[in-house]
Amino acid sequence: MADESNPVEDAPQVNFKVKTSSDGNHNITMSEAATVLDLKTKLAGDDFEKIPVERQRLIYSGRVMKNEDPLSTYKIKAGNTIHMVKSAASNTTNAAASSATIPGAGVPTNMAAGTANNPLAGLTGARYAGHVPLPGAEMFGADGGMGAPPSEDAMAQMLEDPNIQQTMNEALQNPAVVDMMINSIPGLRDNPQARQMLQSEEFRRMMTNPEAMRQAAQMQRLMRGTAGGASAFPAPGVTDNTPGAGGATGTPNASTPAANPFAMFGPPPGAGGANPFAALLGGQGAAPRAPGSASPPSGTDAAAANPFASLFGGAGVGAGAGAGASPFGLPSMTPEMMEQAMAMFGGGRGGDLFGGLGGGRGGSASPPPPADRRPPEEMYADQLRQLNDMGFFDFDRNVQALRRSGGSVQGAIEQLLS
Amino acid sequence: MGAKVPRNFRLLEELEKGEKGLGAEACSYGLAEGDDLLMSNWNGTILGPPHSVHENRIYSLKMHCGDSYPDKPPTIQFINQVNLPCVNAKNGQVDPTKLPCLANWTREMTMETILIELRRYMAHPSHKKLPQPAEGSTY
Repeated sequence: MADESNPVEDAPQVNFKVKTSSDGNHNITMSEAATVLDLKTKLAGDDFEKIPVERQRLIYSGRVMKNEDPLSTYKIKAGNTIHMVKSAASNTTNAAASSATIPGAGVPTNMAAGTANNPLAGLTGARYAGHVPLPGAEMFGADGGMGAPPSEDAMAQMLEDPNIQQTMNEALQNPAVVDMMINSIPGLRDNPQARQMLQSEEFRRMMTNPEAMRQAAQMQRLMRGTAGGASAFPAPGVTDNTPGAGGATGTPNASTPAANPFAMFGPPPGAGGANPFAALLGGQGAAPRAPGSASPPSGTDAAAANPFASLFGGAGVGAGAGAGASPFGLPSMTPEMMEQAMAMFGGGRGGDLFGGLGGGRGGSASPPPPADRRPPEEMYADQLRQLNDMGFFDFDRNVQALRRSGGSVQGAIEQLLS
Repeated sequence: MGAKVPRNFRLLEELEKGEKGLGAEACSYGLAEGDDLLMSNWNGTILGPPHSVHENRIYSLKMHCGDSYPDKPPTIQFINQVNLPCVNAKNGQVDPTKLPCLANWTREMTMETILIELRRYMAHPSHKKLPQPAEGSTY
């Protein structure tokens, strides 16, 4: 049956979008009298998804669309969106899923496959929904912007989730992801060993090791404060790297006094870190934020993109531990690699996840408050005045809302109203 | 307290989000009858989470938003048969005491929240291997 020349040409045309699980988006205009099958046939065409009709499933407004129904049944309004889901043939799902990691796989074979172009797209896509807890609402400001970065506890907790670990492992095994990470980080782009490092088994383990995360956070605190006085890191000999202890690096005793291998980092330069979630949730290209109000940018550190921002907020911290801990027990990282990693951290200040975010605040974010310790009434003087003008008089609530919204009045109001 | 978003504004907002497809991909929802001025009855679908028995299944369910929504959660009833501890095996109704987001409902939550939560519930390690009724069977 020909699509366009069907007998019901008089029926009104409707224009709608079809959104596929692989990020495809099509604008389609069809007669309301056309059936769902017609639509599927159209979508099966070369111009669109090239998916056989029988494997397409269309959902509009919470309803699965039946082949024989005319589109009018569903009262599609102009500009609205129909979701298309590809149903994979049963039993081939495993094969299909793994094929997603092969770059340049021709026709997508399941819903995850279409994300091959942007390896991170899948993280927010259907494949991971429910599978991996995306950052909770509390991680974001009221207006959807970034609020406080997750605390290291929250991050460690997240990393303890086996699903997350698996996802990160998977991601790091995927050459496309590694490529993207490397290319988006100036410090790594010219580094021939970066790939090797990122893909090394130990590195991955450390990035997914909550314990390493905590250590890194500790280290970070230490560096911020004293730039290498008494150390939270044990000397090489002291490290208890029990072989085969769950595969993770040993947990150094935080109170062991020893030379601090990280003293060589020097005082933290303090340029703002990149927004750790920018890449995860908004595509690629972690956009460096303005430095926190209390941390003066120090010229040379302009390229402060957190190397691991593109994966997970906490990963940057984890990497700090990874890079730092490896010389003690992990021979597979060469000294050169270490050096480069350290240079990267020293220059790029990659470890400072918390510095530049949220307009210099962070009380709830990292237990040791970053340098901005001004009282809230001073910090948010303007915003508080505005809120007062608008009739919000409860000081404590106002401050709390402002904190959560990172100082945005708009966000704070939404918080207060909710 | 500040002003609360009234029921109908909220539902219109959710309707727009559902119809325009702005929400999560794995869930979809919309009004059951387009001319329902009170916007009480809704349809939802959940795309079964991967790596579970629900993979590649689509679950349809009905949601009813009472007059006191969003102060009170909507009632949820599966149309497709599903074997989950929070779902009544006889009529497909979701037991609000067994699904955390319904038990601890706050007015910030939306129907999408519930659908996503249900989907996560399906993917939960202790639920994802439960034997399921034949695909397409309904209550």
